[in-house]
Amino acid sequence: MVLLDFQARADAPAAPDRRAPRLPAVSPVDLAAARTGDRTAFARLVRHHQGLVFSVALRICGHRADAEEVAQDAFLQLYGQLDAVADDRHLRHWLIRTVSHRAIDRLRQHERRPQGSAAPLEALSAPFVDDDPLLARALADLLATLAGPARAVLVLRFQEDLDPTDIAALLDMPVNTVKSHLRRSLEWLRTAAPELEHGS
Amino acid sequence: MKHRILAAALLLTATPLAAYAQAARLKLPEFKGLAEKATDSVDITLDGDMLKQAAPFMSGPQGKMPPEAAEALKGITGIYVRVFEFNQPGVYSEKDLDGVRRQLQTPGWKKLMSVQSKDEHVDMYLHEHEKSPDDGGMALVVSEPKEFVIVNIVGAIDLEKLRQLQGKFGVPAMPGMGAPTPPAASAGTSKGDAPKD
Amino acid sequence: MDLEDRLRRAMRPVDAGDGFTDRVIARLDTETPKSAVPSRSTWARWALAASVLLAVALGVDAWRDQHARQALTAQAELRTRNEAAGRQLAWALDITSRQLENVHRRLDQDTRKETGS
Repeated sequence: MVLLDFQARADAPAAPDRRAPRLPAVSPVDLAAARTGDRTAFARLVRHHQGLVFSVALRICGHRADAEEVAQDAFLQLYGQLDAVADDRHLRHWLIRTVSHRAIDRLRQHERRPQGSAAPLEALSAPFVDDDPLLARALADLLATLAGPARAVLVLRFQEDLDPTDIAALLDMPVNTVKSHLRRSLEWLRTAAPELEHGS
Repeated sequence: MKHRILAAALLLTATPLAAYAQAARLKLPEFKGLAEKATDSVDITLDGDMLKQAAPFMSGPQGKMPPEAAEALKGITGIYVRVFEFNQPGVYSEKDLDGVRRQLQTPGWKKLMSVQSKDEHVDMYLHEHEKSPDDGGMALVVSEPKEFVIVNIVGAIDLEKLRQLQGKFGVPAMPGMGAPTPPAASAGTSKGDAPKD
Repeated sequence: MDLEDRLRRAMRPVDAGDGFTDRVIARLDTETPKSAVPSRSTWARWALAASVLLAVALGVDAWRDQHARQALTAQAELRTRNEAAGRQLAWALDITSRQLENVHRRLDQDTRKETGS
């Protein structure tokens, strides 16, 4: 009997990061300068974090135009609240939290629109790095079934390598809910596309 | 004195009814010792006002309560779920669930299904509702080597409507466990692909 | 490469595209005057302190304001609690429906074995 499969451990230690190395932290000088209204310094902050912010927005919203707007809104909100940000690490968390919540809200707005008036969602495979088309397709299928919060959990885990406790704090979600979303999503991927487990 | 007798009589008549209604609610242990050893656990208790207030805030992929959920929830007065997962067999034993299973042997509970094998033990019981549908209930106790699940629902339950909620909450339905076909079309065949909500 | 590694690889951040930063700054220029300073200057802090003193001096207005804020906070807290309970309810129903599906399948299989179908 197939019951809840808890064998996909959502809280397993993260594998060594084989992605491109992260950019060095934003300079504290730029952060301080941006606080005083220096827009050139602020532009450097934006440039530094735009990939992160835009990618989170895109993978939750599933729509490039929405993602662009949500990402821009997050940075504009940041400009007004730079006082609340202590350092680059805090800035990163602040941005992740803000763009995730904004993207989830944007997705909800789309889903509430009557059929026929909603902007068509772009293929969700587009937001994934496409050197793994099988996985990209499976991920797109999975994300299409998930509500915003569940999508956000996946993105924050695998794009930003955050652990479930951090994800729970950022998304205002119980840790067990985060773990459950991760477990089920991995379970879904393994069951829907078993060939994914066998090599890249 | 008359008032006292009346009050006592009311209490006596009220208590059995109240007790009967409450009989569908299992007394679930805290499993404190097991909670510390579990790799993951779920503990949900929703009844009374909390259940009524929670329902409008339960959203599916459409950002609002799926209409099927509203239907399934009608008449339900309490939902109690416990799930414990462990990283290896033998951390808990069937004895830990004895207290729960014993309650299902008391009057009012009717066995719907009981399966026991090497790897699993599944008990499903329904509580009769003689006085009113609100006295009804359902209990499901599932144990496997590395996990156990207890679900207890109190009230007027439509099991089929509850079953069909699978996949409606933004959690992907398991492949091969897609939306059940409507009863009229069902011939016990396997389900289709997971629906996209 | 296991599945989780592949997921990390597939979900590497993608570029926001040419001109993203310029568009953010352009919106900033349109929506916020260049003279506006994001952080609270000393002047703004003094202005805030003065307005608080004024509210206290007015007495009644400050009391009403505080109560209105408390009511809003209580409302917000209640909403947060209800939203959390809503999520729990969704989860409980999801677990229940899956377990019932499993039981249904088992009963279905047993029936077919008995009838030989």
